[in-house]
Amino acid sequence: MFVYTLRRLILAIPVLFAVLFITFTLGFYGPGDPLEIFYNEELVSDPEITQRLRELHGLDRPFWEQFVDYFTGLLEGDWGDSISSGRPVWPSFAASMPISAQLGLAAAVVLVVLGIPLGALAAVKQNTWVDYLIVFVSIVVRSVPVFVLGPMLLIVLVLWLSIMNVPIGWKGIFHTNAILPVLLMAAGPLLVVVRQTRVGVIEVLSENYIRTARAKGMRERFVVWRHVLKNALTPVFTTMGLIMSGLVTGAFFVELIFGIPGFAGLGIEAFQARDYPVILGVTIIGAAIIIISNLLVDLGYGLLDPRIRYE
Amino acid sequence: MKHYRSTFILSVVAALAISLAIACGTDEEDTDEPAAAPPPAPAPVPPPPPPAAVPTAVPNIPEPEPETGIVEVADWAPPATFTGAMESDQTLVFPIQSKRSAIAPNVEGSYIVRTVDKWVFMPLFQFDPEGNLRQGVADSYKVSDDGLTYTVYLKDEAIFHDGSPVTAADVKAAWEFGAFPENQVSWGGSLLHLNKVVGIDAISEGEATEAPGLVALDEKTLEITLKDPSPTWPLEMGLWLLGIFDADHAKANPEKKWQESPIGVGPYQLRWEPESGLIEVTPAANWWGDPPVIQKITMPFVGDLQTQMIMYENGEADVIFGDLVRQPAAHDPDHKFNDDLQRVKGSGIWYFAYDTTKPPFDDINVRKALSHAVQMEAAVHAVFAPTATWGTGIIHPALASHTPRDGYGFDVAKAKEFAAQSKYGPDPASWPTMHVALSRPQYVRLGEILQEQWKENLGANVTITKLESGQQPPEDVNLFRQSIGGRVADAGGVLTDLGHSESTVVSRGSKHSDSALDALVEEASQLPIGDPEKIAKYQEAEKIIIDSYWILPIIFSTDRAYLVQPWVKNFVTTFGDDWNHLPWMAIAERKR
Repeated sequence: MFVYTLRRLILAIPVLFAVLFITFTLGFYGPGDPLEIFYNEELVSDPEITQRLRELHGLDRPFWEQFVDYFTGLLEGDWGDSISSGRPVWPSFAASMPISAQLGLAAAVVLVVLGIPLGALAAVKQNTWVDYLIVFVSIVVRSVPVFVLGPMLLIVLVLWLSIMNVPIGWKGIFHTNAILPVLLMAAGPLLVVVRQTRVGVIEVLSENYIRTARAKGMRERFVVWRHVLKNALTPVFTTMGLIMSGLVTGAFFVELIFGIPGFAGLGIEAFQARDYPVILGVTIIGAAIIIISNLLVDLGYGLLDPRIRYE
Repeated sequence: MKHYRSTFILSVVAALAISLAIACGTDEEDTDEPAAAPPPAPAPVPPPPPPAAVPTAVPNIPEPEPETGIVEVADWAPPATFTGAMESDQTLVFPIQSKRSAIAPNVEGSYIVRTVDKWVFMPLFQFDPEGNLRQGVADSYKVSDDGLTYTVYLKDEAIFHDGSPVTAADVKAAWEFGAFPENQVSWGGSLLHLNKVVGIDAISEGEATEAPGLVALDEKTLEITLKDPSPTWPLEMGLWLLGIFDADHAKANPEKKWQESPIGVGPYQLRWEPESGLIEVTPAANWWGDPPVIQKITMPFVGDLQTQMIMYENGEADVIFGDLVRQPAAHDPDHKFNDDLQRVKGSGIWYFAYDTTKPPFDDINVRKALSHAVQMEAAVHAVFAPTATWGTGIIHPALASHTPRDGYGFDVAKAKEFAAQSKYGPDPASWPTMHVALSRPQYVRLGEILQEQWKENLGANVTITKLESGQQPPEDVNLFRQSIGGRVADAGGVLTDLGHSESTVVSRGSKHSDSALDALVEEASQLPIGDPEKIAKYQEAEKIIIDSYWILPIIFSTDRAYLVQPWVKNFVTTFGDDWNHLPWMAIAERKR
């Protein structure tokens, strides 16, 4: 397993390099100029100052020179300076990553706690009103985009029911402000987990060993928890791995609605401002998260299914 | 079973339909998205109501004392103090839509920190909403006979937030620091004004670190030498861009760390968390005037405009940006918060600029034909709500040099006549490509209306490219949507930007060249403020620009606005879009 993990990590290096190279190339040759973008359309850039700033940031140098400079800096732990703020970009990553990670993990816990039992219940009660209700609610929650669902929830909870204030900002994952963002983040992928679990459980329920367990007089609850779920969860586990990386890096709308200074918002702001050092950093870190999530999922298979061996 | 299945399918379909309806309903208010639907037909648009009267602002710079030649500037005239029931917690919440990338006054181009800048980084002078020059860090000045040298006298009691006295050398250092290449922004920032000072050019180009045009004669006397006479310089010294901060502190805290807790001057100090975006403004311990009423201004980052509105409706936000782009619904006269709208005085203009160096706009007849073939007044009314003021000319109605005009006038016959005289042939359909790139949704809608009218009335084809935020326009664009704003209540800035051949705005837009107009604008700009001759020259310059058909005005920039809760007292803004009465603002009992 150690050798397998090491090999996967070594293989990740060229993947990350490719991501870096492609992102850098797109940034260099793509449309948009970080020095020409302003929040206020009443401002017109001065060509002389723009050229001066371009030289100052080294943006006037040839592609390879800029790329090698960035890459060597990265190897030394220097993620560069933001073009729009002139500040080092690493502190922004260091501040936003833990926030997004906590939100993502909390949303994953909600997904597991809600999605797996609901999926299993829907499977056990297949084609009954319970099944239909669970699937129906999951579809509705999935169908309404977060940027609609979020404000709708705020209108209902804050303005109509007056049971809370708008939970703005980040005050820690255990603060009540985090409840709504976490629920919203979990809302989207809930359907996927419910359906995966439901399908897996239905499939396993028809296996001979389940029939045997039932024939032996084992209570249905034990059949489901001991025999069905463990075997049905392997695909769910795979899905959760993919969802996790998305939860950490892709919660832009939730961050926007609740004013959370997370990683996704940082990335989107950088893309809007064509702030290449930040874009590069966000992309590399995002790619690393996906690689690590996939590795963890693959390693987790062995725990769920003893038949799987790592070579 | 069959019954269950059909019920299930119906339920799912209904849910999807409801979700879709909800999503579509919200899209209408999502101002970041360009309009998907084609624009309404322009003809049946009802005539707009007369625009609200805009008060005329004439800058008022006091006369010098006859004996000494010193101009004594008046101190602030505080507004009437609010005497009703006050909230015990004087914390004002003002959510901001985007995180700031910098806090320094010399690069503040957005309207976010500008609101409080002059009370945090107080400039030498200030000006009030009526255009009167007021004291800032300085209380008087003297101008040399040639109008080139200003001797500014700082207040003895002026101190930084850390308690150290503000000296003339500090002002010089702050202005020079803002001009260093590494502290510049590409649109110019403070250089737009400081470039008038002898020697600032060399600093901005990285060839010097000190400007000979800035000399500290003693602790409290600063001598400023300008390259050319500029009667508006006293007003420019009152702009937030020339706000004063401790440059030594800034130099000692590199990588912009100083901006997290800058040492400024004035009744308020500021703290910035760049990662979370939070800005907090609190009373400064070291301030020589009366303590301000509001004890904290919190500017949390709330990127979603709907969330901002929910916070406002719930009374959690005291002030939010309420302009047409951000909160269009509030501009409906029937909207429940319409009465809360407080519009900001502006002096700018939003317009289309024809690139006069490229075909077919190098032909004045093409420009004339297009300008007369559109009902701009009705289009503006249809797109910008009834509150926008149609740009009938160039000089804003709020400025003393404004001349009432009727725009270019919608006249299809006349437009066709001009088209027939075009060197590109009488059939506009065969004219070279006319291409405009638009980003803001309102302008995309307006562009689509004009495109339709040009097609219908002239048979001319104008291509529109919709730009995403930050996207650069294609190379072949030859019609530009531009806007310029005046920072002081004088038409000189707008006319220079729009008319002078060497202006950056002209070089990015119409690209025209007219040496007579250049001379006229330069001459007018050097005449004293309020001089009838100056006003006449400004009006003459405006007429030349209009008669040359270089631009097609859209609206006068009166679309900036705030939604202000009724319990926020003494909320007044100026041309600079700052909260003019911040030290006297107060939060009354939070109830409607």
